[in-house]
Amino acid sequence: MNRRSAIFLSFGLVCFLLAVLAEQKFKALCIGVGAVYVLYSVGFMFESVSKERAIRRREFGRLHVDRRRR
Amino acid sequence: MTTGAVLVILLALAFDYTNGFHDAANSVATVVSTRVLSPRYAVIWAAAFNFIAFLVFKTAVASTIAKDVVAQDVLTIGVVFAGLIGAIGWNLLTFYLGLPTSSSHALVGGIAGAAIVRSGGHVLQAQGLRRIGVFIVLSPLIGLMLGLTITILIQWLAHRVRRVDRLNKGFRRGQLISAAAFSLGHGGNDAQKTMGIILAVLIASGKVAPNGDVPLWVVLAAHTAIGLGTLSGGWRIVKTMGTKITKLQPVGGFAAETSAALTLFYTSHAGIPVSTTHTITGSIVGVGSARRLSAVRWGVAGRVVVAWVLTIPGAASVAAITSLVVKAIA
Repeated sequence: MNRRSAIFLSFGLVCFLLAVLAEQKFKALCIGVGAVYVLYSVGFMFESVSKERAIRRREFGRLHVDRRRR
Repeated sequence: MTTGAVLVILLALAFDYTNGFHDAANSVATVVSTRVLSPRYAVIWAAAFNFIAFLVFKTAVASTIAKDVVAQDVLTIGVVFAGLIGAIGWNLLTFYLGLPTSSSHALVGGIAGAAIVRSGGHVLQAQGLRRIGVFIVLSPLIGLMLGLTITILIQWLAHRVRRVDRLNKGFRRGQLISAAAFSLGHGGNDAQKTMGIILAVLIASGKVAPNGDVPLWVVLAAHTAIGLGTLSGGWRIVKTMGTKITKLQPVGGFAAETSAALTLFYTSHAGIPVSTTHTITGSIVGVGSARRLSAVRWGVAGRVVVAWVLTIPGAASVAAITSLVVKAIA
C-alpha cells in the first residue's frame, strides 16, 4: 500500500465513523462518500502495484540483456 | 424594536460584510491566477453572484442557526450580541495568528458559549450541533472527493485532445461559470448565517413568530452586505491569493470550483452551515492529489484540521467572557 492509498483509506474510515455519528437522513451520504474513498484507495494501490511490476519487468529485462552480453 | 436589537442587527450585517471581504478570495482566486479576469472585474463578478443567491436558495441554513444551535427561548438579544462579539473576536485573533478558521464555526461556537454562560449546558440542541459537527469534517471531504472525481473524469474525456491550447481556452471560459457557481453557493450559505442571527433577534424582540420565516428585507440586507463586502475590499486579498495558487491550471481551477459549488449547493439545500473556505480547500487538495501526492500542500490541510479543533471552543470562550461582562454591566 502506498502513501496516497493509505491516506484515502483513512479518509474513508473517517466517513464511516461520521456515518455512525450522523443523523439518519445523512448516514447514506457518509457511507457513500466513505465507499468512494475506499474505492480510490484500492485503485491507487493497484496503480502502484502495476507501476512496481512494470519497473521490475524493466529491471529484469535489463538484467537479462546484461547476462546475455556477459 | 429596541435600540439594542437594532445595534445587534447592524453588528450582524457588519459580520456579514467582513465575511464577504475575506471569502471573496476563495471564489475568484483561480480566475485571477489564470488571468481570465482582472482582480477588479473578478470581485464584481463574485459580488453579483453573492447577491443573486437569494433568488436560488431558500432559508434553511438561517433556520438552523436561529433554531437548532441553542434552545430558542434563551436566544435573547444579549446572548446574540455576546455570540457575535465572540465570533468576531475569535476571527480577529486567528486572522492575527494566520489560522484559516471558519467564520461559520466561530458563529456557532460564539452563540453556544454565550448561551451556556447565561442558562447552562442543557440549552444546547444536541441534534443540530451534531449535524453541524458532522459536516465540519464531511464538507471538505466531499469537496476533496468531488474535486478528484471531476479531475479524473476530465482527464479521461480530454486525454485524446491534441490541441491543448484550445482545450485550455475552453476551461478558461468554463472557469467563469464555475467561479459564478461557487460565488452563488458562498452567498447562499454564508449570507444565511447572518439571516439566522437577525431572525433570532426578531424572534426575541417579538417581531417574528417563533416558527416564522425570514422576512424578505432581512434576506435582501444580508445578501447586500456580503455582496458589498466582496466588492469593496476583497480584490486586495484576491490579488495575494491569486498569486499563491499559481500551480492550478484552468482545468484544475474549473474542477475545484465546480466541486466546491456542488458541495455548497447540497449543504445550503439541506440547511447545514458549512465553511466555504474549508470546502474549497478540500476541493483544491482533491484536484492536486489527482496528479501526485507531493502536489498537495498538506501543510494547508493540516492547518484546516487545527482550525476545526480550535474554532468552536475558542469562539465559545470569547463569547462566554463577553456574556459575563454583559451580565455584569446589565
